[in-house]
Amino acid sequence: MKTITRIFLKYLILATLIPAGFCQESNDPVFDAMKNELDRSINRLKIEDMHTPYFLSYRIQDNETATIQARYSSIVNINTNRKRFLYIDLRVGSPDLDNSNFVGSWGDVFNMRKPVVDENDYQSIRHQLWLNTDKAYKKALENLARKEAYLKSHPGKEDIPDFAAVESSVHLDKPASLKTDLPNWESKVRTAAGALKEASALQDWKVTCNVIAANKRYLNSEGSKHLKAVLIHQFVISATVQADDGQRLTGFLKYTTVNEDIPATDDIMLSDIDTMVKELEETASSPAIDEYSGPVLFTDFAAAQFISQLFVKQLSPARGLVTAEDWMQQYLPDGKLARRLNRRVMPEFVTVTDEPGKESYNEINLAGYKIVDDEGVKSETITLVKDGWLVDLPMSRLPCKKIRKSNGHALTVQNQMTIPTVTNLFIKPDKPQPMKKMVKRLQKLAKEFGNEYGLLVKQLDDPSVSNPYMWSDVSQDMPELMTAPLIMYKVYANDGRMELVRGLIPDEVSVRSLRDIVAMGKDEKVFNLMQPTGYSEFGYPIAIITPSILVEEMGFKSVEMRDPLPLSANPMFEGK
Amino acid sequence: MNRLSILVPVVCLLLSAQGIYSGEPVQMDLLNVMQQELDRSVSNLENAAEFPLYYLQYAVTDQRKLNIAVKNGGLEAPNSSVRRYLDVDLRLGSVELDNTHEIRGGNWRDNYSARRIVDFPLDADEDAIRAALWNETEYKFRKGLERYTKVLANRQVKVEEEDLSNDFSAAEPQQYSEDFEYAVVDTAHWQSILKKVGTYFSGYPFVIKSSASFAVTEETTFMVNSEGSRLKHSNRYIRFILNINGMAEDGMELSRYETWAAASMNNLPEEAEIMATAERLVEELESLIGAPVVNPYIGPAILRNRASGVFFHEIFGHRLEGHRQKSESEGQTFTKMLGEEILPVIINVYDDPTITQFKGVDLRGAYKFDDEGVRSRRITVVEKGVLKNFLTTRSPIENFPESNGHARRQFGRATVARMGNTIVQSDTAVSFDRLREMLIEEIKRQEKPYGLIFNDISGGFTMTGRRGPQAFKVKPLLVTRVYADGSPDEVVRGVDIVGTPLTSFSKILMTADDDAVFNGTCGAESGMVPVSAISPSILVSEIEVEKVRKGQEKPPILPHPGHDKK
Repeated sequence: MKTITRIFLKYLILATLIPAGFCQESNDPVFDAMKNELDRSINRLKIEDMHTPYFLSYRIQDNETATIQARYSSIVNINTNRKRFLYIDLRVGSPDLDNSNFVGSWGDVFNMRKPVVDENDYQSIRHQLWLNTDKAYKKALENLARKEAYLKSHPGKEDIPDFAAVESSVHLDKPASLKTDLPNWESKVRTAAGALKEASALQDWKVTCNVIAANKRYLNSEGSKHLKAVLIHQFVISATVQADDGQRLTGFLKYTTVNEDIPATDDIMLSDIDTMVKELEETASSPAIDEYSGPVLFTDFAAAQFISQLFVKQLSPARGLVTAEDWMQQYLPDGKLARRLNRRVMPEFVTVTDEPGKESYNEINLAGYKIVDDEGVKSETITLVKDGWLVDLPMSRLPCKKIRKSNGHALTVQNQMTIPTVTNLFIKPDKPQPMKKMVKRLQKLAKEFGNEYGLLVKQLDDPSVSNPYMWSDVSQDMPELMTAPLIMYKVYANDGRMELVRGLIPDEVSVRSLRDIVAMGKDEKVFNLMQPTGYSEFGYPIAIITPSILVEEMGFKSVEMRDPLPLSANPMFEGK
Repeated sequence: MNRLSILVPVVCLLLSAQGIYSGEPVQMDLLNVMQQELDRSVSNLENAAEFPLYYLQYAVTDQRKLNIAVKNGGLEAPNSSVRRYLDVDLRLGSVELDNTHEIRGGNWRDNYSARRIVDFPLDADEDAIRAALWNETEYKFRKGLERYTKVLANRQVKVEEEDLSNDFSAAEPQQYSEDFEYAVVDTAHWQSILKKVGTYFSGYPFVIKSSASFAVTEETTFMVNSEGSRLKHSNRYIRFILNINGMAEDGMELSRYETWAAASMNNLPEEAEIMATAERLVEELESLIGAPVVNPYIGPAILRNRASGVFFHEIFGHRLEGHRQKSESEGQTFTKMLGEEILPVIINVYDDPTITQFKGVDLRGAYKFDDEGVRSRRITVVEKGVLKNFLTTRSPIENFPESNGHARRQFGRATVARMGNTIVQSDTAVSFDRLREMLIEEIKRQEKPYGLIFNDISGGFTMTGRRGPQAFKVKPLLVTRVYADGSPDEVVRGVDIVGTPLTSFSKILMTADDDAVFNGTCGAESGMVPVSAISPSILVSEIEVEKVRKGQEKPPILPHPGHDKK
C-alpha cells in the first residue's frame, strides 16, 4: 500500500517544485491591485453625510504549506496546499476616536481572514478587494456609531487615542518559497514513527511535519509598503501512555525552526525520542502525588514554557477592548501583567529584553526575528523588565494609558485581532547560578517549608498535543494560567536523590509566581516555539532564551481526570 | 503587464495534479487484516465487561479528492488529497436492547454525538492498521458501556415506548469485492473551461460574485463485520458547478446556479453547453435583479420537475426515514398511516439506489451496499397514492422487522435511514405545455390574479421533530408569475414556499411527462450523503409563499472595478 503515498508524493513533488507565481515588486499584479483599489477606496468611498475612511491598509498573505503526518508506524496524510488571504484595516472617525478596538459582536473578535484566489490575476484580486473593502467600510461606520453610543453611556471609560501616528516606511524582503523536500521530510517522519514502534508501553503516537512559507504583502494609505517573508518548519512527535490508575501521560518533542531546515539530525531526533519514551514509561510507572506546596525548579523546556505561559501570554493586551455588552469582557484576555506596568513583577536580579532584530543567537536562528511588524512599523528592541520592574510593553499602534506610541510589535495571528507580541525574549539574571547550586537551593528551600522534597520540572503538558489523545471530557482539570507538569522529579531535601513522580496540576498559580523566582541558572538555552495568544491556541513563532528558573513556592493539587484502561492488548505488541 | 506570464505557474500546477488519479490498486488485502483484528477484538471483548459485545463492524473509507475552482475570475490552486478514515460500530447488550437505543428526555447530545474523524493508515503496514483498529475499538467499547448503562436507567425511569421493536435485526452476510479504476482527469482542460467561464461572468457589472468549480471525489469502502460480511465497493462523484450572485437595489441577495453531476468523465457537459448555461444564468440573474417582489400569496402553482424533486425530497422523503417512525422525539407524520392514501392516486414514489442512470444522467444517490452492509434494493414507498413502506436500517421499526438497505452516513457519524434515488412517478401525465394551460384554468377557476411557476429551488428544510410545528420551508431561486389574462410571464423574487406536508400533498392536481433528475447532497443526522430526486413537473391547486428573509446591506458603493469608468 505504500504505492498510494508514493503516487501522491510524486504529484506533490511536481506541484511544489513549480514556482509559486510570486512576482517581484516591479511586476507584481497583487501589489498593483492593492494600490489601485486602495487609492480608489480612500478617495471615493463615501456614504452621504457619513465619515469617509481616514486610514486603510491591506495585507495579503500567501501561505504555501506542506504537511506529512504519521500515526503509529504508517503515514496517514501527505498534503501540500496554497492559500491566499486578505486582512483589511479600515478606519473611520479620527485617530483620537475611531471604529477600532471595539467588539460590537463576536465576529469582531475573530478578525476572519478573507480568502483570495491565488492566481496572480489583477482583475480578480481587485474584485475581491472591492467587495471586502465595501463591507469593511459599512461595518466601520456602524461600529463607530455603536462605540460612540457606548462611550456616551459609560463616561470616563476611554480617554486614550485609538491610533498612534508613525512614519511611513518601505521594506521588501526576498519572497520565501517552499523549497519542497518531501522525500526528506517523509523519511524523517517515518524514522521517528518507526522508532516509537520499539516502545511497547505506548498506546498511540503521532508524528507531524508542518512546513509553511508565508509571504505578507502590506500596503497602507500612509504610504507604507512591505513584503515580509518567513519560512517555518515544525516537527512534532507525540506519544501517549497510561499509568495503572488510568492517568494519561502524553509526551512530546517539538522542533521549530525559522528560515532554515529542521536542524535535528536523525541521530539527535532518535536520541531525543529515546529519552522521551524512557521518561514517559518511567513516569507512568511512578507514584502519583496528591498535592504539593513548596519550591519548584523549572529546567530545560519547562523553563521556556513557564515564561511563555506566565509572562509572555499575560503581557497583552495592554489595553482592553471596548465591548458593546459588558458581559463580553469576561471572555476576553485581560493582560494580567500588562496592568502591572511600572510595578515590580520579577525579582530585582532579572532583566528581560525583547530583541526582534536579532536574527540568531549561539548559532541558532531565532523564531521571532523581524524588521518591521504587521502594521508596517519598524520593530524596536525593548527592555521589558529592568531590575525586576516591568518598564515597557510590546506595543502596536493601539496606544494604552501609559504608552502612547508603537514600538513595532504588532502581529496579526490567523483569524484574530492585531495584538502586540514579543519576538525574541531574553531572560537575563544578574548572578546566574550553576545547576548544582540551584538544586542545593531547591533542597534548602524544601527543608525550610518542612517538606521532605522539592520538585524539579523538566516539561509541562501541552494541551494542543495531549487533548486529542484524551477519551474523557478535556474541559475537566484545565488549569487557567499554567499547564500541568508532565515530566517532574522529587528532589529529596536530605540527600538530593531524584525520583520521577506524576499526578499534579497547578492550583491557584498566578503571575505573582514570577516575583517568587529566587534564582536562575547558568544553563541558558534557546527555545523556538509557537506562542499561543490570549484568544486562541493557534500560535505565532517566538524565541525564548532562558536559563533554569527556581520558584520559591507554588501549589499543586491532584489530577482528577482518568481514562479507562484498555481491556485488550495492543496487537502491535501482543506477545512481544 | 504581461498577464500571460502570470498565468503560467497555475496552469502548470493544475497539469501536474492529474497524477493523483493514476493510482494503482492496493497491494495488500486490507479486508483480511481488518477481519483478523475484528476476530481478535470479538474474542477479547465479547465477555470482557458486564454487558456482552454482540456485534462489531469495521469500515474504512478510502477517499481521494480533487477540487479546482475559479472565483471572481481568478483561479484557485487545486486542492487534492488521499485520506483514509475509520468507523467502528459496535453493539453491547442484546438485539432486543443495546447501547444504540434512544435515550428519552435528556438533551440532544444523548442521541447525536459529534462527528468523530479517525485517520487510518495509508501504508500497507499491518501493525499500524491493527493498532489503529484496536485503539478505536477500545474507545468505542468504553463509550458503548457508558451509554448502555444510561439506556438501562432511562428505560427504568421513563414510561413504556410506543414502538417496542428490537434495536437490531438479522441480515444476510454479504461477500463482495470489485476493482475500481481511478478516473484520469485532464485538469488542464477543466482549468481552461473554468477560467473561460470565470472571465465571462466578470464581464457583467451586476454579477457581484461568481464561482465555478470542478470536483472529483472517489470513495472505496472496505467493510467487515462479526457476522461474516466482507465488502469492498466504490463510488465516484464528479460535479461541475456554476454560481453567480447579484443584489437588487433593496439589498436582496439573488443567485443563480447550475450543477452537473456524473459518475464518469464521459458524462460531463461539453464546453459549449457550459458556456450556454453561463449565458442563461447571467440573463436570469439580470432579470431577477430588476424583478418585482411578490407579496405573501396562496394560489395555484407549478413546480418544475427538478424543483418538484427537491420539494418531494425535503417535505416527503425525510418523513419516511425509518428512525423517525420510532423516535419518541419525532413528529411521526406518516407512522400510523401505513396503507392509507397520503398522495393523489396518480402518484407512485420509489427509492431505488440500484439504478445508476436516468435518461442518460448519472445518479448520485446510487450505491450497492448501505453502511450496515445490507445490499441496496428498490423500495415502493407509495403505490397509487397509498403508503406502503418506510426506508429502513437494521434498527427495526413497528411492522418492519428488517432492513431494506437504507442505512447511510458520512464517515465519522452514526448511520440512520436516508434516501438514495427518490423517484416520483405519475400514472397520468400531460405535456408541460398542457400543464401550463391547466395552471391558467385553475387561476381562473379560483379567480386569482395570477399563478406561480417555480423553475428552480435551491433546497430547504423541514421540521420533523415534535418540539416545533410539522412545517417546511423551501427556497425558490427562480420564480415566474403567470397571468390568466394573457399578459406575458414575469420573473418575480423574494418568496419562500411554506406549508405543512399533509395539506401540501393533497393539493396535487396533475403532473407533466417531463421527469428529470435533481442531483444533490443531503445533510441530516448522519451527515452529508449524495442523493438524487427524480420527478415530473407538478401542478398544485394551492401553494403558500411568504416573504423571504432579506439581506439589509446596500449594494456596493463603488462600481465593479472592472467596469469603473472614472
